[in-house]
Amino acid sequence: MKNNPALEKIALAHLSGPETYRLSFNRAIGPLLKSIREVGQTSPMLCRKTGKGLELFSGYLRKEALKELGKKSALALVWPGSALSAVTAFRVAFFENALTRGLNTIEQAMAAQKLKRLGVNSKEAAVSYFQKAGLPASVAAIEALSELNDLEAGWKIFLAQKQVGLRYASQLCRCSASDRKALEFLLSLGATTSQFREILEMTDAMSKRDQTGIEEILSGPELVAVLRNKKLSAPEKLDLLVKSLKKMRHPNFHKLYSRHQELVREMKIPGEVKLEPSDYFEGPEYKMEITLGKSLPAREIFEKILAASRGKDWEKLFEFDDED
Amino acid sequence: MKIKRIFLAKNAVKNKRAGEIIKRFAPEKVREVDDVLATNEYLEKFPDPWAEGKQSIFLCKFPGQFLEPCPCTKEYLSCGYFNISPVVGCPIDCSYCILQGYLTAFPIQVYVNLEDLFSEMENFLKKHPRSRFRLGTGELADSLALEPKLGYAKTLIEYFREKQNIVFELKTKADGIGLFKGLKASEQIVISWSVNPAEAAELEEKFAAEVDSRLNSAAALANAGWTIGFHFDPILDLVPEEKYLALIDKIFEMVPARRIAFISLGMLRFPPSLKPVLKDRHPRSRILCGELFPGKDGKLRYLRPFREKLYQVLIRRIRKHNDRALIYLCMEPGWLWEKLLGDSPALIKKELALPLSERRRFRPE
Repeated sequence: MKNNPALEKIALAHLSGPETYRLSFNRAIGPLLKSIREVGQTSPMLCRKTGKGLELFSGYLRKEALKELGKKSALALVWPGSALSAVTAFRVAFFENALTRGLNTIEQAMAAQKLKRLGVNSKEAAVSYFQKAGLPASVAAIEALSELNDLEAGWKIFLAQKQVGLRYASQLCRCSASDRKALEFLLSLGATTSQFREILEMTDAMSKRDQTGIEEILSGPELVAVLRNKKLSAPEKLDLLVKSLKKMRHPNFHKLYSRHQELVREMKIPGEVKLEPSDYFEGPEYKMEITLGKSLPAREIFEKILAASRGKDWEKLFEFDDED
Repeated sequence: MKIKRIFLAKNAVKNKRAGEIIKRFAPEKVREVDDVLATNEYLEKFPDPWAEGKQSIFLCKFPGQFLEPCPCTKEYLSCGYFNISPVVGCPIDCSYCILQGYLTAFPIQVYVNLEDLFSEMENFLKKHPRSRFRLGTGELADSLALEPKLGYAKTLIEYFREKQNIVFELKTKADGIGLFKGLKASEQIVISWSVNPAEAAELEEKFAAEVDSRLNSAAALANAGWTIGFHFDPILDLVPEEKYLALIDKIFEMVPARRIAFISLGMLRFPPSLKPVLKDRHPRSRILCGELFPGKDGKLRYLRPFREKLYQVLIRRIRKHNDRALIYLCMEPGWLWEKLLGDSPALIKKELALPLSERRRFRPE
């Protein structure tokens, strides 16, 4: 039983906390401070005895909170020196964190990198760690996660806060530094996760299509005008940017849809009638939605639709000649 | 591409054909495995198990059905094709290949029990003695990419050439035609090539033969009396339409029209679930740059008015070379077939399943 950990009261001053094991990134300390203040330390930190003294391997945030509250000592589960190798200590820390509070994308990236440094290969990291914790668990995912550690601090915070998944985090990571810089307006405007994904996806596809950088795409006059407009709030700016980018990303659809709107106007179809192409113009079909109310002249609406259907523009709805 | 390893299923250990295949491919490793799950487990340790799987063969006996009508896609018109699949998976690594999202096994699965395939075929033909069918091995695999080492193409040609009510197609993006040396050409056997302009093929069809080499092979076989088919599928918007027109011109320059059984046209479409695979496995691909929207089957496609217009231009050019060319569309609505091709889909489908000499409407002079 000598290898079992023992619950001890330890002096915080004597506790080293090497970065090898740390798995928290951008975690708010406030709630923990509040809890310790109210009820004291309820779960012990995890430490191991080494030749150099006591080493913390799980409970970094607890240690910071206790220190901030002026505590000199704390409860810790302490493993005797020979009982726990560095890899096993990390394994304990990994599962303690991953299975209780969960790991955000950047914490997963930290874990992937630390495992690599501890000599655990990607396959083992995937199977023996990530898979068991219900995290992205292919070899490729572990390698993609490791790369996220090189991202700029602002982006790391954003990805962690917005709970952006690995796929999009990785896509951002593959962008050049100047492209990421150009996308930083997303951070300052407080983009939502879906706005981030949508804008990244659109600009990335356009940069490949036009064989140019994201930076260049975002320097277009329409987009710059939105970003510089002082009268617009951040959400309004983001909304307009998404709309403008959609037009740039799908110019043919935009052209078809504008033509459709123009035809509807020319046919004098009343406002109560919504005539929309079905399935993005996939069939030669349209969906018609009519809003009728007691005060709305139904007969008049139907007559206008009938008149429109007899006009020359009606045919144009279903045919696209060379000029289109 | 070289086959690095062969997985041998327990149920195929004593199979003579399996032994011969191993001998011919002479891979670095042969591993005996319980089933396909074990092959996946092995390949999962590589960063890209699909890429590794394309260099691996899994030899096993297939207990299921080899012959099935092509499922096409819901809401669109089927061309009446039948798939026969003694091989599932492909060493060629096209970015747009739906097998990446469709198959659950990483290695190329080669079924060694061809006898079962033939007996299934015999039963099928007994049930349908008067019907005509067009079938091929190129839907879930490339019919020639593993040839001549695999030896299946020759065996299948020899079997199907005797079947009077079948047009059998070998569809490929490879250029190796050595296996046809010494084989007598048959009108019922069509060797077809999927083609794209070189610029698109270089970017999106990794490990496929260069387009010029494909055409050279097609021309050589046509000159040897074989019947040839072409599939412009998937047509990609990455290159201007002029490139496709030039490719059509080149085909008709190189291959006599009287040897061309059919030309299919199909524009890019794939289920949205392929998107992440495409991004992960083919980061340099430009497929996802296109304007793709969900069609009636939920698959992503180019806008229909754009497709319609491009089909129109291509059909016009093909018909300029040969006004009796049999053209059909792949995974497009019936009304579009009628509008663009000018003949009823039923007639087109009927003639597709006939050898050139038996056709009435689409028999190039």
